[in-house]
Amino acid sequence: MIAPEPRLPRDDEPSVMSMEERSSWILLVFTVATSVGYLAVLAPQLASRPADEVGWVTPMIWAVCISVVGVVVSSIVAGIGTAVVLTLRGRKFDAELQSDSRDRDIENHARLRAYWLLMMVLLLVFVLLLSGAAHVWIATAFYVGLSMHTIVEQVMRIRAYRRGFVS
Amino acid sequence: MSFSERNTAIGLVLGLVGFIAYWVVVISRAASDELPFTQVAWQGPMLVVLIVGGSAYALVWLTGWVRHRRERLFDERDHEIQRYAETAGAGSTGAAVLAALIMLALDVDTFWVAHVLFTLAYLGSLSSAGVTLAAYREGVQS
Repeated sequence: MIAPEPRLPRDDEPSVMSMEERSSWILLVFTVATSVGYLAVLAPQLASRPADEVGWVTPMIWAVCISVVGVVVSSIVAGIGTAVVLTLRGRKFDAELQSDSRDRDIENHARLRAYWLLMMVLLLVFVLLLSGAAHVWIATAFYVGLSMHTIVEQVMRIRAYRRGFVS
Repeated sequence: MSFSERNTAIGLVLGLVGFIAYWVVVISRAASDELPFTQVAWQGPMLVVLIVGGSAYALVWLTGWVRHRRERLFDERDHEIQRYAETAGAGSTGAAVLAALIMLALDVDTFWVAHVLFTLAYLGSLSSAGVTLAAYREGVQS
């Protein structure tokens, strides 16, 4: 008879969300929020005056800056917070939060599957450039397209973390 | 030669031919009409290159796929090389996107925006194709 494997005290506890999944959530939230914010600022202007007079540069700079700074700051705060909570519960955060080959596989899985959208965005921008559309439309299509790409990629990553995936 | 190695090699040749043909047409138009670069009718040639090049590459992919339809197309090595090569081109494509957005914000002439985007994105896929072929020949250092 084979003896059952020894069970350690914490074996049945759920494993911690990995740093990659956490940063994926952060990126998703900020990308959705900033692109919706950008569109909310721009839509009334686009509706009310000619396209050439719409000031889209300042809203876009704000959206990009808020998104970058927000993602960096929240990732740092989330990392420190998780480490503190794990330490308070008496667990070793450096071992539990280290990224492993599953994290890398999931990243590649999502990147390869979202790649076509990036190519579609580039193609759309080319068509808009060739047809001589107003810059505000090209830039908005570009920005929203890139945001969609990021959102799809993060959703695929989170999905792979929660439901599994075939690489 | 594996499915993906063959596709990459043909795609590299197609890309080189298309890129050179495009610039030959635009430069000869600028020279023969004695126009400044930005006023040449470049839209037509670029559209033709993008559509013809894209559909030729799709056709190559499709014929390969039909010929090997009962076989496995990608193995672990193909995936590994694909991952490795994609990072090689990603920097250039990202730079293309950023540069195009900044040029749009500064209201630069559409000619320059389109050409910076076209050339940098092309260089990105060129380096990714080159890295892919080199990896098939010499292996991946990971």
